[in-house]
Amino acid sequence: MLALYPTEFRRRFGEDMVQLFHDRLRDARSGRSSEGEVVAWIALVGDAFVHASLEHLRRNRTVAHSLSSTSSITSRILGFAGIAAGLAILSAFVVDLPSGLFRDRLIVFGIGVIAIGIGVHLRQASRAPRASLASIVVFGAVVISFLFSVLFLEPPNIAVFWSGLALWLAIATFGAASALIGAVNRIGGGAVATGSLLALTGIDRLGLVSESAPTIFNTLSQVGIVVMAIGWIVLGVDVALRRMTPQPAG
Amino acid sequence: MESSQQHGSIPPISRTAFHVLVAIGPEERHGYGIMQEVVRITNGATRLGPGGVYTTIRRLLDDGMIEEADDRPDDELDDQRRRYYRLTGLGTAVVAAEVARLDRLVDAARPWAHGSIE
Repeated sequence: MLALYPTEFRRRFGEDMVQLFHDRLRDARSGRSSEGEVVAWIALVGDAFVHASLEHLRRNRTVAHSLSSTSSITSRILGFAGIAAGLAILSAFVVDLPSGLFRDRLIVFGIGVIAIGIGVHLRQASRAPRASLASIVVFGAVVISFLFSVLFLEPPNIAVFWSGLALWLAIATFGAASALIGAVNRIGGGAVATGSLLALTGIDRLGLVSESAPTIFNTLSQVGIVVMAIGWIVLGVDVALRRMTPQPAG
Repeated sequence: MESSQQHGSIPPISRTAFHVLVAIGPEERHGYGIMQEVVRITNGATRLGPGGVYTTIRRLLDDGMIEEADDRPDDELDDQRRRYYRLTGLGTAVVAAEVARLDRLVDAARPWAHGSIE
């Protein structure tokens, strides 16, 4: 039943909870408690399901949430930049933007995803400092090199292909790492990771897509871009609005 | 009774959190001790399970209302596997604020509710 709880919570209180579980059952068996053993079992199973579900929903909430619930200005700026990045991607599917705005959209996207990278790092650094720092440094370098290649190199250029490939893989790694570490919304991280892997199949040079004879990858890569954009928005909302969980002392 | 102005900035807390804070009280208690004390002070009306106790402890720790105690009670009574918790200054202030709030409610209800129960 312990497996029902969030990993971080389990790590922090798992042993104590098992001990308390046994204490309560022992009391029920020995007659020291007014409840019988069967009643104790039912209550304990119910307790696990109810509180594990609640803990998943409010794992970053505290009793007096209103006492210290505001996220910092920095977090809000980083989060909203990430939301802008997601919206910049989605906008291409919703409105027919002038081609002149392509560069601007790309810059908004680049700045936004780096901002989210920093925001996510600030949250997860206490859980996995080295992995988080390595992830954000590599991620930032790849995004910047991609922006540089697209904005300043004349196509067709093999550097654009490699930087594009590196970008999708770096985003996938970043999303998967943040989902696994779990300091931010796992669904957002998972969507970013899954979406970028699907989007990767749309790179022309890989030969999986064709304009003249569309394949399944034409659709999948587009779906991937939308899923990834939604993932950035979810992460942006999380970074902007959810307070950081203080780490236990010691 | 503390004045309402003194505690005006402290919002109400959940009933379970209040039970746990009161159960710890001026002592240092581990999870099982808290659970037993909640049963005692509520006259058996509330019986918390491991999930109820430790999700509340987690939030109270994160809020700085309780802290883990380094000192251990009498060695004979102590179980080294258990972690003991005690109230912090903030936790004590929150309990005081909640008591003041409940006092006002009881004062408002007593003149008419007390007679109807008897």
